[in-house]
Amino acid sequence: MRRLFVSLCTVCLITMACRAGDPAEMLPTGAIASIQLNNLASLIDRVEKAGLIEAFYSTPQGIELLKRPDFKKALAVKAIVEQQTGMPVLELAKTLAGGEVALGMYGKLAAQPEFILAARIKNRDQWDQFRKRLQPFLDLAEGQVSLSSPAKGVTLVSIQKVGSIALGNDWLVAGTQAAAAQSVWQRLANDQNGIDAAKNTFKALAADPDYQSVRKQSGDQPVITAYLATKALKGPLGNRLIPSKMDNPLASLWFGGLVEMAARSPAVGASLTVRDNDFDLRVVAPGELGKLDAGRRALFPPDGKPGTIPFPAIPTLIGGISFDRDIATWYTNREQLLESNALPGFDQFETGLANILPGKDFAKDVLSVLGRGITVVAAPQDYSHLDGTPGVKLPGFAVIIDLAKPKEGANLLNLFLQTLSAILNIEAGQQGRQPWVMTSETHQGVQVTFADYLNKPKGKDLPVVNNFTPAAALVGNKYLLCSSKGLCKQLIDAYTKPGSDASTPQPAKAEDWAVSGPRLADALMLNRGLLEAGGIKNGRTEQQAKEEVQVLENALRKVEKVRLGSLSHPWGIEVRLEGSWK
Amino acid sequence: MIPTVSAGPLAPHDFGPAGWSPADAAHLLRRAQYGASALDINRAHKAGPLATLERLCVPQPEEPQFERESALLRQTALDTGSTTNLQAWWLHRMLHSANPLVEKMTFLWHNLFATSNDKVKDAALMLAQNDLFRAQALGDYARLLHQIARDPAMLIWLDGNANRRRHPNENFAREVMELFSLGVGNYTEKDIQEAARCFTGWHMRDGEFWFNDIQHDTGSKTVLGSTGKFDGDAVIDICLNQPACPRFIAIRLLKTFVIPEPDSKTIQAVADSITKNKFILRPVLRELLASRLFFSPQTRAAIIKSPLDLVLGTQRALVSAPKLEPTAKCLDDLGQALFMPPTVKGWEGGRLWISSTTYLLRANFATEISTQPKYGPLIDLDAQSSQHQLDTPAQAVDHYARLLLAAELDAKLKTRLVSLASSADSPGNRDRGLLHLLLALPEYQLM
Repeated sequence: MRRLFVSLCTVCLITMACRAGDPAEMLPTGAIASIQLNNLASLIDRVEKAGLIEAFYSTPQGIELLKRPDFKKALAVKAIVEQQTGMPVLELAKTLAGGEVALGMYGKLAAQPEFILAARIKNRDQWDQFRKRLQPFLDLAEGQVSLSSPAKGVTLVSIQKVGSIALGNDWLVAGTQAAAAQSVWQRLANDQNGIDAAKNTFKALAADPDYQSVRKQSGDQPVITAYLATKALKGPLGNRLIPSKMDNPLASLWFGGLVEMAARSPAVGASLTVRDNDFDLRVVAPGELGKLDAGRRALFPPDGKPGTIPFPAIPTLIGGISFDRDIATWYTNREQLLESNALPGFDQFETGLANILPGKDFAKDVLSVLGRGITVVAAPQDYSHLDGTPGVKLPGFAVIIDLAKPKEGANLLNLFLQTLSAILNIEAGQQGRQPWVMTSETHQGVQVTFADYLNKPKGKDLPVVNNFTPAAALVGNKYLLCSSKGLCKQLIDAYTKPGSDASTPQPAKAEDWAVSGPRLADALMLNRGLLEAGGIKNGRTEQQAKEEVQVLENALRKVEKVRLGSLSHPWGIEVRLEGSWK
Repeated sequence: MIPTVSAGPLAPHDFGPAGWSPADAAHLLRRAQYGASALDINRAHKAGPLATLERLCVPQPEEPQFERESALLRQTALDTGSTTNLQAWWLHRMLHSANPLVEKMTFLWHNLFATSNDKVKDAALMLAQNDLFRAQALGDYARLLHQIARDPAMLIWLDGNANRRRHPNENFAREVMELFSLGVGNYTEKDIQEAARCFTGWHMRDGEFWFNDIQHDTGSKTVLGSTGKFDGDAVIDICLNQPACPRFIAIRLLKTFVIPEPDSKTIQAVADSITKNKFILRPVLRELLASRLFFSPQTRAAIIKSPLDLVLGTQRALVSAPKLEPTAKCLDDLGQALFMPPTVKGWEGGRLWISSTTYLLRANFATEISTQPKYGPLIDLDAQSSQHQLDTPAQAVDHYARLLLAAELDAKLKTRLVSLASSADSPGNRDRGLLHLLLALPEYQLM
């Protein structure tokens, strides 16, 4: 029953919304976690008008979903709700939405937490109608619920061993703990009835310093905000929210710093803002980067120093990933950051690397010449090195490595490239493929070292490996390692173009991911047959598989750009996901 | 060993006054293709034995949709070079082709001329070899044996390029006699050494057969009692002319389609048919699958299902849209990864299919396919119930036992199944639970 009650509260939360303002004003202070919705109606309206729901039901997945017994039951429940309320579910959600909705969790995680839901309803006519239609159900439940009117215009429904729901002229409060809920509905009832006394004694969550510290970093007019008081969780979960060491080196290098900052922060917040053609989702954790240990501090840009390098200005860029990390410091502190069972992997890695870079120590000889920035980009492929095309057409890839010592670093990476090429040539010989020959040419005054075939591989279904003819060049302090000479030349053009801002760092971005939907669609649709075959392998008919791929393509072409990045600020850290669509 | 069937085992079966029954139709379909759905059995029963055999043995036009899907999967295998995609392509054919017996015979040749992509590492060559098997699936074994000797995948698999005049490599010559045409005991080591000389210079270059005349030994050789300046084709002809050759093929056909341990007289009868038909297998199979031997009680539920028979057979009977990659993975787990036979001997099968590990995996498969959509969604059990009027638990038990089991259901077992089915809360759950129980029975491992 309790679970049902909480579920009901959540459903109410989703189907109601409120006037502009911070919904956390309605919740009492001391929440472990809360979710606030603001003006959800407009979002529902846009989803409905865009026809997204109908479009989904016409996809093979939608058709399959409609056949599922569980979904059929859900549709039956929807029909009952629509019958009882006299309006479609979306209409119900829209008409009730328009104000503020907030759900807070209180108490301790170890014990059973308490919940309070508070909502202000904008459309009073619909609200009155809803309350009238609710009355017969309350009458039916007589014996399990008791009704009272503790204040003018307020109906209090007490449900045995579950909690209470208070219904006002334009608000609703539900709580699993009567006293806590009472403080909320009394405040709203006083507002409603023009009584100001209790308002002064009510301390709202919105006034909590920790809440404020995350709320002020939220985007403009967010539709949804969430708040988690991490400091309140530390008690039940021990002194640390997360283990002090990770057991996955890649995870440690990628988001070990972010996780540690979030765990140390007294609170974590999230907000989602949706505008006409874009959205941004932010997760923020206030705190001081300077208090991190050296290994984790190395995963963020130093104070006042540049962050990730902007992506090169290639007109057809599909997307990329750019990192700013002091890998050498992280690497030398790995014993403090990683579980002991993850450490032998480093020895294996260094032993393997010795085959490609003989006589070199990874930490001393390799990492010392690397700078902080590593960028990986993808762009359309050029098959001029072939007399045909590979069966699987991959885009071109390039790794752009900032070098602390450009000359030494380039020599080292050239050695790596040539040794790797020699090893792969042996494998090519064993498998009867054309080997690579290393050669070079000059482009824009920059020497490009690249692999080439003596005899161009011929055919329309060439092996995947034929997507790659590695090329490398050094431009300034940037070492470009590319999957093809063509892409290498494009990068050289981008980095040598007069007035190029390619070396201008972005403010304090530790990482940056970006992808262009239409260009990704172009790249994927070069392998449309492969995607369709994937559907057939999954039991679809040819027609269904084609439709699925078309849905994917249409969706990608509508998404202009998606970008994910983590930023460090004087007040803490932020992870931001942004997207735009046509 | 089954008792010898009197008066010629290949004599046409007389279905007697009871006539051609659904059980007879199911028996034929389970052996001649990978499993049978209720619709398949019903269609075969209505068509009668002769028409059904005709449909199985005579090439049928494929549906355009099947052709397009197959082409797409084939192209994907070529594009990616992945063994999993090769497997998906063939599994799709095995499940959906209008010529299921062709696919079963194609697999028979794949198992006989076992070649693994683990060594060949070339999807195009493996596909070309598979096409060769399919082209001669019910065709000319003699021609196939000649063609396989020049097959690029086989040349890689058995080190053709290492077979040189001064250093003959015996791999292919040994397998031609031991595994491809005669069997152990029908040749000597000297015959292999001499035959290897005949195949010297049979090399592969640029993905094609290449006769490297510089490396061919043109001298005189003595193979299986014949002497001359033989080349590889001559050796193959010598093998084909040995009495052991049709017997060798007869054993394969009998073990695959009829009985696991055929007696000598039965083998000779089939071998005689092969000889009479000059190694053209279509008439041999038609005779065998219509024979008194094939429909005799001793051959029913006599063969342990291979993973292919088990998994694809279950999917064909119960799954509406099989998922190919999980199916390939399941077959691999059960020990039968297509295009990846474990050795040059292929899959030995029979009792070796069942071990403590694989039996557990077979039980897991029964659970997964009846309770999860992992291998594809189950057929609509409510619709089946309505269509076949499965109003009572006993009717449901009878229906699904007839669909899935090769043998009659034991009366005690049936009573227990009916009792268990009676406790279900809905017909859908009843049938789902019943299917799980039937698929987990030891009897379900037989066909």
